[in-house]
Amino acid sequence: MKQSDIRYYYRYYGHLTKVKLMSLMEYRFDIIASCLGTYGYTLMILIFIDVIFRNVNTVAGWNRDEILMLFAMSQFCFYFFYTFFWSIWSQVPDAIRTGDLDKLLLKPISPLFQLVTQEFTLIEAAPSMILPFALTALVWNRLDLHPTLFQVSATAIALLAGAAISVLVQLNLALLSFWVSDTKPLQKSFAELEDLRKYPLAIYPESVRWLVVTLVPIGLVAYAPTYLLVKGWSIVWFALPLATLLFFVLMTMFIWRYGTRAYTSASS
Amino acid sequence: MIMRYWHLAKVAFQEVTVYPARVIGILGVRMMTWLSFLVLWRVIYSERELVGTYTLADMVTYYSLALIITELTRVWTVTRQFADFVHKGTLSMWLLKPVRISPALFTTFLAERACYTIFPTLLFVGAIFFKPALFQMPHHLFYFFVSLILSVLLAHLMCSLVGIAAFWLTQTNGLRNVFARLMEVLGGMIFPIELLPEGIRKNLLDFLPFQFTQFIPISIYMGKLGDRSISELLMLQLLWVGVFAVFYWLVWEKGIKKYEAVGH
Repeated sequence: MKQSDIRYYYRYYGHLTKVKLMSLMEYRFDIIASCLGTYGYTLMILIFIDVIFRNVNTVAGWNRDEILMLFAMSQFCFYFFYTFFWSIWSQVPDAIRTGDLDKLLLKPISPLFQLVTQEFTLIEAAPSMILPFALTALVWNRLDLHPTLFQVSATAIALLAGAAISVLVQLNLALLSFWVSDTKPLQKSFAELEDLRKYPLAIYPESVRWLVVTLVPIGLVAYAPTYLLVKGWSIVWFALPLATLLFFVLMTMFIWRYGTRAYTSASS
Repeated sequence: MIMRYWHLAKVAFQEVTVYPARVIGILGVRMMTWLSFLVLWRVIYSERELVGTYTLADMVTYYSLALIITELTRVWTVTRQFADFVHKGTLSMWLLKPVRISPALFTTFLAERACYTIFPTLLFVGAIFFKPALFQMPHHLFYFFVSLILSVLLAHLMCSLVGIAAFWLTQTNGLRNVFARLMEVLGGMIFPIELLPEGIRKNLLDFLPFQFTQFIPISIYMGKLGDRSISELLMLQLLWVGVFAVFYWLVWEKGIKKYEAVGH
């Protein structure tokens, strides 16, 4: 990709943000309420974790602060998806089903890029994103973590890979709209399933653990970076998210390629 | 008149069952979430026998019933529908139909939810039959069903109220999110609220309606009533239904006068 291309995409993104900000100001109350909803969710999980740890000291070898770190990492992955790729959830299936993809195919910019970046929610997500950052800072202190630069880098890479896996799984489900009439319930169900990523993998029986690491890789998303940060270096938890990410990138390319061939415009 | 609602329910049922793979997929995911809770609690119970007053069998029963009741009280589609009707102006079409919109939406909601409730209910009954040791046996089955009906009504009224806030707010997604979170935690969907500190329960939760949507029916089933009697709980539940019904009616009457049928 040339530098001018990057500038072009950057300007396109900037314009999207401006338009989004203007439309958001129309529904200020809704933004505040959405924010309260996400605070409510975080509070709910914190209460649940508190209820558990008032009864036990560790869950599968993970203490309260480590579980809180796991939850914060899972929140980072969610906000990555919510901030930059929310249209995968809200617009991609409809665009394919109703034929709105037509107009994106005609524009001089990658249709898949347009499709996944139509909705930019950084402004809505920003107030809520304070929570995982605050939680990480708090737990970091309490766990008295002193990671090496190598460990921090490995954690960051695994976290990015995990977040990208989450996005790509959702995108693959959304792209099934090329063949299936309504993928939203499937996407919604997968989003509900993502709640499982805030528990340590060791709680699951062996067969389920295998399932949530490979076939439905939600177990990897937050667990791998948290493990690298709080438990130390592990080649398995570093390499596995990267390998899974590669698999899902290839899968997305495959589905997009065959999906656009199957696309029959407005009547699809 | 009843036949009209019956036909609406039939159509709603068919609309859901026309995509069986979707229903199976959704139920599969719900079952996995349910199993994950059980797996987590199993790990906790490996270290102790009681959490609060709950044994492992109590907890399995609690989450199994919570799964069924959650399906029955998952009213957010109604909230979204209401908001969409107002936002897009399609409420006008409903107002012209020879049915009353609120009971019509309630009927279609029940039919739709029936598709998602049948399977977990059969599974629960089957599991009790074949593995009774895993579960807590029902204590007050009749009162449980009475409480269940009231909880469905209450959840429907509460969520419909959030939906008709669209007459004033146009967009209610945010409000819906707040309310959904409140119902999940304070209703007892995520964990039995009895495990919360007593101060929170006595000073906050007892004055809110949320626990009557999930926790109270399950408590009646399990006979975990604490210092309260069944009749007291059912009366309180009925009172909340009454309060919300009146409030709903008032808000609807005021809102419909404000409705402008935008776009239609």
